[in-house]
Amino acid sequence: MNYWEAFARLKSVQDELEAARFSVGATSRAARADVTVLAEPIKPTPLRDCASNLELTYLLRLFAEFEAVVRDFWASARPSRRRRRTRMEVLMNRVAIECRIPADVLQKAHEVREYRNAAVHDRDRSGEFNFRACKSRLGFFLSYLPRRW
Amino acid sequence: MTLQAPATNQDQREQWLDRVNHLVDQVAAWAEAQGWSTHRDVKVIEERELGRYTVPTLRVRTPQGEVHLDPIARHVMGADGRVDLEAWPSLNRVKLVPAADEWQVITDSNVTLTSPWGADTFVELAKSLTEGS
Repeated sequence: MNYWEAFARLKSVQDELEAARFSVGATSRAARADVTVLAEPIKPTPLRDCASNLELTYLLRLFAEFEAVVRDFWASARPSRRRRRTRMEVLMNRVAIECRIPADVLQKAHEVREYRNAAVHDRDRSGEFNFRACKSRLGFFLSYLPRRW
Repeated sequence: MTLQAPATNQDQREQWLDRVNHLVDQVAAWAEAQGWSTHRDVKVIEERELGRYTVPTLRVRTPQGEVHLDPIARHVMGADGRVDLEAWPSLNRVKLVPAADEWQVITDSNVTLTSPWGADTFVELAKSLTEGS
């Protein structure tokens, strides 16, 4: 993977979110006009839930892509014969040292990680991050990676 | 009254390229008027209807970061073309879609900006898109 491919992965999640928003929005509007357009077993309530959870769902996908990029970079920067499963928190700190990522950029990316963990484990989420803010913070973190690895 | 024949794919491609070229020239001039450096490049787009063609792209370096003017395609859902104005590395962006003789600015949440496309709007967008969150 290279630097530009890493960014392309984040951008593709953004494009998917947009396509999903468009599709769910169009379906919701059609269903409001004529509920029979919803074939069984799709009911209006899950469709509404889907719309309201869309950003969070794609935020999890965004973080998964970010994690894949960071792990790919680290596997190349510090090759090991053993299969590693370093905790993401630790890994981000190591990458930050390796790539001289400023503390505030690292801290903001950690806040996204914590927010994502809270969402996955259904814990209280302090501070509301939208998709845009998360993408921006993770993008800044990745911008310190080398052009090739 | 004469009926106008529908534009052929080649006509569409030429019209699209004219609009994109004009947009890139326009944005480059606005950026340079701010004292921001610009870098032109090209990219290849492949569309089923229009085939493979080359379009110009533009990178603008502002004091806060870079913004890229990136043509996406002529055939997109809901518009007659789309060009992204995207900040890097925040990846914040707006979409520019053709509307009559100008461009309309649509945010990522699909809200159409009321401010008309022009130098002031571009400068304002370039500043806000490059801000970190």
